[in-house]
Amino acid sequence: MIPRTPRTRRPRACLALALAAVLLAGCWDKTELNELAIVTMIGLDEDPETGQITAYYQIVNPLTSVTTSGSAGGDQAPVYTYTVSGKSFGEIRKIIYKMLPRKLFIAYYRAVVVSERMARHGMQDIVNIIQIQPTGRASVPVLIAGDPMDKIMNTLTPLEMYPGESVSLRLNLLRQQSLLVGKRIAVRDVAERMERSECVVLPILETVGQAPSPNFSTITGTVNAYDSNLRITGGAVIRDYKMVARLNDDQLIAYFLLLGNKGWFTKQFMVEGRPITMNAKLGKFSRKLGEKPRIMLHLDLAFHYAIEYMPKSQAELERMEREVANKVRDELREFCLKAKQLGVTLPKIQNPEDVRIDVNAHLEHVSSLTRPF
Amino acid sequence: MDGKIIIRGSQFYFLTVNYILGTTLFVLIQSVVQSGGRDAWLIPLWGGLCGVVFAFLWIWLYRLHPGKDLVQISLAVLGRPLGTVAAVLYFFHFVMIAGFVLRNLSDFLTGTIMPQTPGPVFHIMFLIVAAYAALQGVETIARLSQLLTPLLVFPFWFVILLATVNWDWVRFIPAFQPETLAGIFRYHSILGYPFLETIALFMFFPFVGHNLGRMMTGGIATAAVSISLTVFAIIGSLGVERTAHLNFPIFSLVEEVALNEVIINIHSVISIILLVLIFIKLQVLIFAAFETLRQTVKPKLRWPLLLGILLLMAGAAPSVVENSIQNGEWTRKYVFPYNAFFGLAIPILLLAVTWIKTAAGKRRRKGR
Amino acid sequence: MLAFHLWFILLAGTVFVYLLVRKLRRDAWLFFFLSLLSYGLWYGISQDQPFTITKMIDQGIRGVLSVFSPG
Repeated sequence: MIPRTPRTRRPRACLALALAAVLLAGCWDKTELNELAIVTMIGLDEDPETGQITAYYQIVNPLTSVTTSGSAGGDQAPVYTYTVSGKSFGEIRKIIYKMLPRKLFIAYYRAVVVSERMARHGMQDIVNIIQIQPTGRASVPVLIAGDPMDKIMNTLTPLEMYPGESVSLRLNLLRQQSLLVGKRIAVRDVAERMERSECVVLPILETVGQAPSPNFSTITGTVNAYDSNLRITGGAVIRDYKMVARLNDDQLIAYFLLLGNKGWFTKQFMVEGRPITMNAKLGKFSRKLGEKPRIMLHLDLAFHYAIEYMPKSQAELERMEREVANKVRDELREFCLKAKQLGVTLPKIQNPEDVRIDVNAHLEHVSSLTRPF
Repeated sequence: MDGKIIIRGSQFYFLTVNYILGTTLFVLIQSVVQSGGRDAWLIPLWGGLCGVVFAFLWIWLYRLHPGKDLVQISLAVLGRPLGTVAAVLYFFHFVMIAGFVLRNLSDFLTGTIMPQTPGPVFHIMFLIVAAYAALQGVETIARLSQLLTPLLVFPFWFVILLATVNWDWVRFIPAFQPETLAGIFRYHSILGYPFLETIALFMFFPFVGHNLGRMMTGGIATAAVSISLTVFAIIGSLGVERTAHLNFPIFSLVEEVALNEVIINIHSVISIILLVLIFIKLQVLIFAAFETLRQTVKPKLRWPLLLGILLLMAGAAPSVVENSIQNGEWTRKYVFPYNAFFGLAIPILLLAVTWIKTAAGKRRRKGR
Repeated sequence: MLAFHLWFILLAGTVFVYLLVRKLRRDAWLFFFLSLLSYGLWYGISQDQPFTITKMIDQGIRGVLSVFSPG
């Protein structure tokens, strides 16, 4: 085409570069960062009588920034909550830009909060609307709202500026340090478990103190973290995309132990008439399925908080280990007997009542004290 | 292009693997898991086995006419008029495959990360770049594929490995049930796509050395195992229930990968890798289509022919299927028979006529 | 409509005429043949109603089968 001589080298190179610019197909889909409304938390509510859906989008306020000298934004709230109502998710999408000046961007959201009445009515639409969007990451945790949605979505949290971030960090800590939250609490787990006709246990979110929150400066200016805050409590059992029961803290620990979750949990046991606070974690977990299902748990005990009393001899310690193991086994047994009533299922086990549970406990971790004062 | 050996065996091996992987990693997975359920990872394995058998057929045909590619064999065996018909048929076949490749690509990109961009923009740009490379010749195509392979393999499997944090063996139990196994062998479209599309590589045969057979069958086997491992990883990380509902399971899989909750958008890495695989497949198809017409018509200039082919492929891409639903129907009903016509029927015909001619020739010589 | 015809005929026509002028008849008619096919496909695309090839093949196969099958 063009003769290859040293003279034509520069024009040829320019032509090649110009043609390569053709590869930049971003003209249609480019979006600048300041055109995005970055969502940190989503709230969903449905009125079962009218079928009206309300969506709450908690959007980052780009004018507040975290600096080392403290909150620089002054009296500006770190997030803004936009509330949109419509007959369907599609209609919400249609009318949201009547209020929102930026393009909704949900890929960085940290939590999805669902109202209890919507959870009891059916959560299938939520799973669908999140999965159908390419930017809808299904790995986001779902929480059930224990208080009215407009209170929860308009509550700020101290210490961690974005409520969505605060909730998400707490879920991790509760899972690892308290065994009060499970591993599988994301949208994708809801979808998968429901399709397999199993249950999923989602954490419950409540408000504490003043809700909706007062000004951000009031919250950051107060010492009491309970003046206005969110709290994660209990667990909601979801079966068939509907919420059917609530679990308290003890039941949650029992359930997650039976699943084999490895997180620390703390319980006060009465051992030989004396109270002792034990920290425990699943060391080994095995199951036998089939006709006579068996679950074998081996607990690692720790004296991290045992300030009441510590055994003085090996014999005492072994007695204590056995008593703790028996107590845990009895609690798990009790939970299994109530499982069907609570709507709880154990994976691949038909009847939780038939499960034989074996627990043994062993002291694995000592603390800094050999004997309490 | 007179059959000088200029591709090393290993380059042809990588070319085969990348060509077969092409678009399968994001087009095939959903339908494979829907048919095969928990044992869906077996489907690419038996498909690959058949693919190896098909390759034996082609290599046999090639050994009877050493140094000649598909078009030259057709012209030699069937004569000028019928051979030209066969060559033109193959030309349209390669254009159709290229149309499918481009269409799958633009559907994927507009469905996931770039919804506003019109499809033909992707088609034309990919064609321009792939054609530029294909124009440089066989050696460039082969060497490019060889250079890119490590850059593709390691990031891809690294990201899949990151995604296995959500692994659960429970997703495979119970395995090897009779109903699912029946579904696996019912899925015959795996034979058509991708394992019969490899006929396009026949146009590269004259440039490969004596280890052609080993390299090609090795490449097909490797590609089959790769697809199978990918399906296996997806079932273990996503589960059959979710995969059956998702349009692009591999994209959803890597979208949910998060490194320490900080790096959340690693799926762009996967998208780039898939795009590079598509370039390689497109180069092979452009080269095959180009050579087919060039050897039949023997024009003096190369670039007008290339331009015509690009126009045709860019026009074929939006026209090849109407939407993904009709695509699914076409795949279920026709992909195997349609590809078998070009990948099996015509080569068998060529083989048969070759035997007849050789036998007739021997008889004539004996009769002298 | 106009835009499509404009760029297509400019592109294809220029190349075709160039080949004819250079007296490369084979090349010219090969290019003409390819352009004709592309024109058919691109016309459908420009009208936002692409001509679906697989549907045509489907109809063709069903037509052929109906000739051979009884009734």
